[in-house]
Amino acid sequence: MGDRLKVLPGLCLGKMYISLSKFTHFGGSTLPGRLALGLSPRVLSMLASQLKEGCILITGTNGKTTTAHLLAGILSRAGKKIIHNGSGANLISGVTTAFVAESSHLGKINADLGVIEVDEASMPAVASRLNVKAALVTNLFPDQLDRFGELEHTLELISRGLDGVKKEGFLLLNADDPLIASIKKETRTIYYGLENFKKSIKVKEQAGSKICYHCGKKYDYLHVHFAHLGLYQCPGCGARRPLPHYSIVSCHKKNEKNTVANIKTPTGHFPVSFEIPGFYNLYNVLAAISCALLLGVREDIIKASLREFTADFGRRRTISIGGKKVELFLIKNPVGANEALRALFEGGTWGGAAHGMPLLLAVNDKYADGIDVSWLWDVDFEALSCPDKKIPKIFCSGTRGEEISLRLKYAGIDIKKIKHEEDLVKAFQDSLSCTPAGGKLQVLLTYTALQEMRKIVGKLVSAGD
Amino acid sequence: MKKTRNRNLHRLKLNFLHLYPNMTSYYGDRGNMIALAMRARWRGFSVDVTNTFVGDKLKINNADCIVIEGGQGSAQRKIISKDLLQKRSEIHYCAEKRIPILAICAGFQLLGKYCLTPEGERVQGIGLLDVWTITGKKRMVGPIALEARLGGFYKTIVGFENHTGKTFLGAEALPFGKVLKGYGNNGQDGKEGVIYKNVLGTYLHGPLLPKNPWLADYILKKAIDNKYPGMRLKLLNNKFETAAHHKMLKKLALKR
Repeated sequence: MGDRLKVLPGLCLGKMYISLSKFTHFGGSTLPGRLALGLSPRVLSMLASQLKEGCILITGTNGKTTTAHLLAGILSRAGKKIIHNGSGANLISGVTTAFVAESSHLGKINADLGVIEVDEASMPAVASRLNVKAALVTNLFPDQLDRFGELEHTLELISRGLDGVKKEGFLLLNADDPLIASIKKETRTIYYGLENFKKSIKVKEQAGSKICYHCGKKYDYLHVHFAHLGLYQCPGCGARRPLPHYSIVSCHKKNEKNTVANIKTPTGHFPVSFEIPGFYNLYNVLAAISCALLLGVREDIIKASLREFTADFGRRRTISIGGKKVELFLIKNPVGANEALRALFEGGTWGGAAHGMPLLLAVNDKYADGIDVSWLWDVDFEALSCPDKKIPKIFCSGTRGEEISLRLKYAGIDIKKIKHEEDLVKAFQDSLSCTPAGGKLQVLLTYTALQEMRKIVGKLVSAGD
Repeated sequence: MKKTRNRNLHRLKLNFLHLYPNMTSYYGDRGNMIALAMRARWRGFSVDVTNTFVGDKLKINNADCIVIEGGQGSAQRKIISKDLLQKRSEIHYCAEKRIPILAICAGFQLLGKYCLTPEGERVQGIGLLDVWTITGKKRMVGPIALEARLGGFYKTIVGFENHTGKTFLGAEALPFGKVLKGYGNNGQDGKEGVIYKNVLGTYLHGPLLPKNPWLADYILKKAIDNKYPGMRLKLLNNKFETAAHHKMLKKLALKR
């Protein structure tokens, strides 16, 4: 109780700010936490220590938001009371906000388990304050190097965070990512990965590294899933993919929306079906399922939870405006952007859009986007120049609209098709009016551009009602 | 008349050697190779790019231009150092033959004499350039602009730098440009990069060449001068390039 009293001032301030922001509609996913931590630095560790079963941390470059949502959904269905930073605010301030919001005014938490998504660079700080039962690392791709320094450094930060996992806990690592699989700790380590599907997915040479990080030799790949994820072995130093404990051994599309995957566990096989599009989401589904199984959740609960789940959050979202559809994709690094491009051309997803639908790309270079936009040159925009994919116009916008226009020019796209319009509102209106009735406008944007776009679209949708 | 010219164009060819692609595709540096290849193609050249990885033999026969990418982190720098030392004599030979060589970041450091790591370990360079590097504590990261002299004209060059290595030039070595905004080689002497014969070493990512088309053409011109003496470079429309260039200058508050 004494502990709780000491952190009350910060807690109250945070809670006050949260209730205030409910009235003012002024987004508060990080500021309450920052205020609370500023006044009472120990508020996060005090609140987290009350969780009966500790916390699950989820980190990595791509897929942490989706994986965390999936896992939180499964665990809630299994009857656990969860604390989850679902807004995607994953720095220490965002994590604190989630806890402050869940606590009573006297600092009491009524929950069993935390499912916490953590920014890679914040791992050491967050892990040291929470009672970590398990940690899940999805993958590691170059992402905002201007912020994190170099990849080596990011790996080091994650690894330091993993030291905070309790002895009786476990690590769940992606076996297909050579960098992640190279993490060695004394804690029990479980691997997950995709097996070599019969129906191989053709992958173009992508920007991620396929060079052994330890000795510089090119990896021998039996199969590449995407970027540097796959079944690898290094001819130089002998590093190789560990055999996964949990894997997807086969997968097929039941209909346009539904995917069925066959999960292999140490004790057997079982099929799951879900409506989450995109190849990269297989990893997220598998990660969440493995983690749930390790926490003792029953298969039938997992299946039921996945069946209900639809991916209309995070990096991909579809909205209808005046008989036209608008699909938003968040892009933030070469691998994610390549996956988004691939999703555009995936059978059915683009639909008739390959013929006659425009595209809008918006790139900002604010701090949250990464101030360096060099990575655009590592994205295979060359895929858009294929003559059979008839895109009439590509609109380029954002604070670095010039850069993305230039990138498209060098990807071999006819410059007459490239339209630069710095103002995002105008670019959106132009591209929407260029979209034929009943068609779909595809929009690829960086983080802060996506936030702007949500506001623009929000106004349009409510005005239409 | 027009037909003959077209037939002549058909025979024009440039061969590029691209060292360590993929290894370093983190900073968009492959944009340099894309820019050189596209700007040659738009002028009617056919282009051949030979990717060379660690351990591969350097095929310098009929190479017209060499692009060496960086490498990231000290582990990769060591790997590249070891590999470059095996290719040392070939690269020296190309440089003396005035074949243009573009080396970025760690590539630039390792064409020099040596790099000292924070632990005091000495990573050997191939000694082509009269420069040496000491790893500092501070990460020099941010947009950067230079003024450089290219073929008699002063031009602005923009890019993005991200390095902890501080590189110093020998007394005789010529810097590539003068820093207008940013850190440059070491954050101290206002110099950026180095030029030796037709070898250009620089810290600039961004990537460098697409946003500085005059530099891309300067390198192409050097390659063409060797192979097709007296040939002039066709002018290209640089509207998109200049717009992106000026945006960087504006960000750095340098645009007049």
